Amino acid sequence: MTLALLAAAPKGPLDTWSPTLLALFALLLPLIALLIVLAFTIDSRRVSAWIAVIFTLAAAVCTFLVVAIEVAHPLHLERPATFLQFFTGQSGGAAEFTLQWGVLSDPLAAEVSFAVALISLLVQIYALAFMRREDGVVRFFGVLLFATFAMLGVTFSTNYFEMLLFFGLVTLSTYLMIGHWWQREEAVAAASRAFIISVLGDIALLAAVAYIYFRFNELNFQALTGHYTGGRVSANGLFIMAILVFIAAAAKSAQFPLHLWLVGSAQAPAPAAALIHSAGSAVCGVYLIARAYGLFDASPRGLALLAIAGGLTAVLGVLWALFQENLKRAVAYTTMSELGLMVLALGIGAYGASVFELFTHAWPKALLFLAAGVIIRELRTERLAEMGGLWQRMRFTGVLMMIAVAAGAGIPPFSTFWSKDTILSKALELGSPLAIAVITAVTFLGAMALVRIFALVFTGETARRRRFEPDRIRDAGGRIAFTMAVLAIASLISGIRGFRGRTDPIAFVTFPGVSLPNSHFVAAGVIAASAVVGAMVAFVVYARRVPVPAALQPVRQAMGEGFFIDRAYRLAAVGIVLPVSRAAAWVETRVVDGGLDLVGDSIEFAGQPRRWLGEFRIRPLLIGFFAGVVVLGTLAIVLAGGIIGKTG
Amino acid sequence: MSAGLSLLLVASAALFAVGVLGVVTRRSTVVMLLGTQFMFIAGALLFVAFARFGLGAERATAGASMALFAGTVAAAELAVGLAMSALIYREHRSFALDADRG
Amino acid sequence: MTLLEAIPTTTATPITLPTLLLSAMVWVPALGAIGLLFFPTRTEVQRERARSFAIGTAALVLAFGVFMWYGFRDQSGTFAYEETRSWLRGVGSSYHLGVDGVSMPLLLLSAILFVVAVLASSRLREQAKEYFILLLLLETGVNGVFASLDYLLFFLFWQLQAVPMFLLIARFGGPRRLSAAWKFLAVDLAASALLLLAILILYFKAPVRTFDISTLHDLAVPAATATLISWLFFIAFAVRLPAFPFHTWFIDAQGEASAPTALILGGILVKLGGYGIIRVNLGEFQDAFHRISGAVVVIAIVTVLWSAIAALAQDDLRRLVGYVVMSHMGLVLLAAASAAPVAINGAVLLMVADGLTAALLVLMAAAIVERAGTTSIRAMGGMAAHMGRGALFWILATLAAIGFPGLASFIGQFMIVVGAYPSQRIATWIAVLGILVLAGVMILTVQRIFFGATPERPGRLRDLGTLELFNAAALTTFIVLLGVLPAILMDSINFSVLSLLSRGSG
Repeated sequence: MTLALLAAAPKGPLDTWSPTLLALFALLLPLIALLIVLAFTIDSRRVSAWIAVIFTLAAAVCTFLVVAIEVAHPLHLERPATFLQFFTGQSGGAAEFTLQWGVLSDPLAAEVSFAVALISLLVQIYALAFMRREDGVVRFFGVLLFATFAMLGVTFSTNYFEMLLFFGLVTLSTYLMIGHWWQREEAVAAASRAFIISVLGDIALLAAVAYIYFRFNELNFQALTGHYTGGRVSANGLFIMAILVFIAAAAKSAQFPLHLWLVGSAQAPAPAAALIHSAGSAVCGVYLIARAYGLFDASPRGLALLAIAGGLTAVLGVLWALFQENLKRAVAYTTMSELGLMVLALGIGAYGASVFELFTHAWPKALLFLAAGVIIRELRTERLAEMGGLWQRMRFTGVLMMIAVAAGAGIPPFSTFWSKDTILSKALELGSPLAIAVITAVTFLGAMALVRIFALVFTGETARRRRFEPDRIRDAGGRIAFTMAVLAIASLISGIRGFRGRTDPIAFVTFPGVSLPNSHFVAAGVIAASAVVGAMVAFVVYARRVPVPAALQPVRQAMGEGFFIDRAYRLAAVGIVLPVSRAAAWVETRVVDGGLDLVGDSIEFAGQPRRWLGEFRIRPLLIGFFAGVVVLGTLAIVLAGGIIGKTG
Repeated sequence: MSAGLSLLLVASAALFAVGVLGVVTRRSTVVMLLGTQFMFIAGALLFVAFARFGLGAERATAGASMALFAGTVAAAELAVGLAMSALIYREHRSFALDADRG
Repeated sequence: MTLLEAIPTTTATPITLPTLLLSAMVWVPALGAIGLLFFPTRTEVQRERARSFAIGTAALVLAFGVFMWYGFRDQSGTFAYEETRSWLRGVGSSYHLGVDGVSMPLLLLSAILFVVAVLASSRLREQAKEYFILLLLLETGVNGVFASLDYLLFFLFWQLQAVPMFLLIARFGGPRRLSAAWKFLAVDLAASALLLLAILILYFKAPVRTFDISTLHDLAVPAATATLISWLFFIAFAVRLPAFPFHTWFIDAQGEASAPTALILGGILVKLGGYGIIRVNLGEFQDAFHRISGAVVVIAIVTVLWSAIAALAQDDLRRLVGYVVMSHMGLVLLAAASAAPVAINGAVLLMVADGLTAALLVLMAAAIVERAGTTSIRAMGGMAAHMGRGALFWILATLAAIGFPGLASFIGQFMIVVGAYPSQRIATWIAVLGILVLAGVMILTVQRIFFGATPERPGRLRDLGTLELFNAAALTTFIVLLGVLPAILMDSINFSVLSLLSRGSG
């Protein structure tokens, strides 16, 4: 059918380029750049950085072309290649074991890959200036290239196996990004934690792959979409698959209770953090759910799991964000909330809206992190309490950040407004009061959290600190300003939909069988209102630096620490796992080795020269000798007789 | 399993036990080598016993030839061992195994 | 017949052309060892010559292996490069050598690892000649086991490894090497006794008086005896694997042996256990093995989990590497117990991958320990400031050990999990948990060794030297190659695994 569609489509210059070929280029260009840097230019910072930028630009162009083609002719095309194939000699469907990899091109992949490539490009341009005086610049760009490759691989994955492969690469890239400044203990600890949680997700995905392959003998996403509902697998089986896939997604997208690593990602350098949160690991999980949506669609309990987990994550994230003392951590928690919202949207069936939210959210989030990077560098502090009064000193950054905050909050007509509006429309259509309440509350509080950040940083007076000259603060310029401006423009326009003659972005990405909600004016109004009101409340409260009453201090601390969940995990790890490990070591040395040592020691004991033996006392010697002979002889006879005698 | 065979098996086991005792409990390398000789003899005796009573290999001479082989190996090993013992003696004026530990 | 005449060409029908390549791979190291005996080592120049000779011998064996690999896929029949010569006709044992898709990759791995080990021992000051002699003898034993198709020959080569390994640990090891060496010897000899017992029972119970592996199936042997034989073989191989609870000798040996010895031990010696289980238990006694597979699965799972958990509390870096290898071999055991073709393919692949990974881990661990001046992980920290390249290779080795995509173990572990799942659902889930725990341990180890603040260390610490770099780079190349293109091995492995499984099930 797709071929017929292609034949029926009007011919134009873009049709000669197959989108999958472009996708392949986009995927491989960062990898090629990385190899070139490793092989040839590893000693030159400038050349390596520019190679990275140029190749990423080429990749971004390719993804843009893919989007253009998909907008013109939305098709699902695949270009698979065999990774491993052999004949298993078993009957039935298991006769051949095939593992494939390749690229695909469809609206979902196009939309997300474009965001990934473009943000990666902008982040790298930013890093050209931002990381100029740092050590490990080449390593940084190499890691960014690797991350881009991994992320694009995730978006272009054709089957579960390939997704697992690229998920692993994303895990590593996140680890390398967070742990970039490896001399810092906190950064390294955060990186290790992110790695472990991410690997947990990968293992869950591995388990899912094993189970799915066992049940369906098929791993390709497209081929599987029809199989889920065929009745081959029970509802329980589908739910288990959904749970496993969800765990994998939750680890990557920081859903509760695997959210701990997201805050630690603030340890990464600003450009890397921007990438992670807007188009990196955080996006992978949501993407996996979207890609594997057929599975969730076939399992109502799976959808419920998504909705509950997503809602919980969204609410917790935004509550904790309101109480953060650290600028980057505050932004990180808002990301957690947004990711929760995306998962919630998927759970209630707002497929297109969720993906669109992913797209629209990326730009303001990246901008927030990049701006945070500039602010932190100029103010030489990360603590919000030590900031303030930057509106006069860093006007340009302030304006951009205002745009980012408005876009992220959902204030119309900025980007996330349009996607949140559609999500709420779906919730209204479903008539679920809980979903409606959660979405509205999250929008309200999310706006508050973001505006709080803005207010604390830009309004008021710059806090006085020792050895810090506020007059030395300079605004961003050059490449940094350029990239931030581009992101701001993207935040402004990326949401706009419904223009005449153009494809509605939300209808761009669809899932068969999942209907698009009609855009309610009510929904739009509610979102707009909650966002605006939330923004105003936050501005009033935080611009005036209203102090928190002392009675609420423990609440504040609990919120700030994320309900101490992190400490609970660590306590469990230290309290449970370590003693088990030590017990194992004890068993080994005492019990297992003890047996062996006993044998060895007795031999050694017997072997040591004994004086009384040398004195040749006959009687005990003879007694022992004959006793030994009797025992050995009996054994020998019995054994020999038993074994040989049977053959007769 | 005839009585004669059982007797030979017991004898072989006894000789082996003597050999093991000698190797494990004595300090002097020469006596230890004597112990290994006992163990070889025990093995050869086993081969001959089974050959004599028609069990095991297809050809009856196989057991005897293995006994000869075992004896040859025993002699060779004894030669090498005694040579090393002589070297130890030359160095430390004692045949004891731990002579170098004073 | 000269060696040149013995080289098979692709145009002639390979099976009729006799060949000496396999014998060469097995015996050349021993010949080299004997040759080394005649080298004087009084002066430095003479020692250099001895070193070069040893390296040359190992390289020659590797060349044979590579050459054999090229002609491998043109070989028809179950076994390639088969050599049959009459040896002990009286007892029915022949000098029967041959390789198939399961043993050829492992044989190649052995050749590679021995070259790496010999290169890595080039810096030994004292008694280097003895070291090389022992290593080369060990290589003969290892290669011989992989090539043997006759039980008596199998056992002979198996035993051949015991004494050189013992001496290598006892003379060239760490502070507690004697205890580790004795433990190894005692356990190994006990396991060999079980192996011999199994072989003898099989020999005497079989209707045909032969020691030939492929001729002796569990067909004609009564079921109870077959199960007993299967158990004995399994325990003998499981001790070498090393499976819980027979693993302490391995951990101790890894902790005390010098780097090249530990490399060989963890890289190839323990693979013999896995190979034995696949070749003998699965290939020849499949029904009997299936009867005991429940217990085998339990042992496999406990091995995987135990090693991961014990690794958590492990502070000695070299012992930690031992636990990593043990964990992987546990997965191999699980695959064998499931007897699924996909899983066994994965097991063979994982063994090859783990051999390379273990070698890299051991080499890097030795480099780290040497520079940090301690084996205690807690006492290290911030080593990345001193050895950036070393950090890179260690992290690569860690990722390879975890099963990171793009590196060798990924496909092996993936196939084991996917292949074993249908028959062993719960066990596979638990094994997967073990992989996760190990991943956590390894990444935390990376953090503790390399990152964080760098404490003051005496002296100037250099990064990896040329030789270390070469070894590490060579191993890494293979690891990446195998990770990205496992298909180069897969066809041969699969073909042999399928034929092995179909033959064994009578």
